[in-house]
Amino acid sequence: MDHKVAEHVCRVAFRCSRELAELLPFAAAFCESRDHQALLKAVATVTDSIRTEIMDPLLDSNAGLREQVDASVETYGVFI
Amino acid sequence: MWEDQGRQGHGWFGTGTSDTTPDPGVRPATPDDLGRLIAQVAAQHLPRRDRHDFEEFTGQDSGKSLLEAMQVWAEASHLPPAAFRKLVVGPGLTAEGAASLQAMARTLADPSDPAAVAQAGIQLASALRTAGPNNLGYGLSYAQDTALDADANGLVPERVQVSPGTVEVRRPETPTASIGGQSKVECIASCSSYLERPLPFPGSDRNTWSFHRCVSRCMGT
Repeated sequence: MDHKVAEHVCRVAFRCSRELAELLPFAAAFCESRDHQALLKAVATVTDSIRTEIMDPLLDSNAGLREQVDASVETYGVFI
Repeated sequence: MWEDQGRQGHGWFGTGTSDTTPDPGVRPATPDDLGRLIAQVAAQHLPRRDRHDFEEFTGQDSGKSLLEAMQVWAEASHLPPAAFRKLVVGPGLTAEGAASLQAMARTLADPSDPAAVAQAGIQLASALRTAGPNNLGYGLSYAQDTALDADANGLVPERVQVSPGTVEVRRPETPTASIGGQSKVECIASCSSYLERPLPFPGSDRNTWSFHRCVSRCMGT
């Protein structure tokens, strides 16, 4: 895959993961502990699937992309 | 009750000690006691806004985690500064903050001077202030999770007292020795707390990326 396209897919994957994670403080505030824990487990599982099914194949097949993401998140807190 | 006063079963006075009640005059304070003292001093040296966040943080379950993280920082306090920051602090605090945290950790590792505890509290407050305005919760929870994660994965070189006055640093034989063998479900569960950390700003990818790295490390991939 073209490097620029891979970057874009990674950004979208990050955005999906982030939006799911944004549910967690909401659930902590408005749900019972049991429901919050169930949602945490579900969001974590889906986020990991996004890693293994979408991001890792791209990061493994595009030389330097993993380092690029790592450096960007380390420096700016976001993949830019 | 009378057993705890050291009396014998028939009511006579015994040795005055109990095997269930610690004697504060003889036994040294526990590392957790020291950690609590240091946290109390730190709270007094934070700006009011940050103090409230810090006290709220230490008053919840995270307070216990903070004490555990303090022990990890103490164990790692002999590392070079850059390694200390990378391994057990993370980027939530600046390099200057990590240095202050390491100074605090050294005091906690060798609390021979009671006055140093107060100094350690000031050093902890100084470290936390480098997280930046409104970011104390993020900086602290990031540093805490990084420490606990490194400890759980067996990455912190161990300091062992081999004889009185002689301390030996033992590096983990294999950095991933305790990592392998966990199921994916266990790894996801143990790393999921990364997804709930406070973010440095809305829209940050830091928690997602930390979660990915944690699961990868846990799975040994």
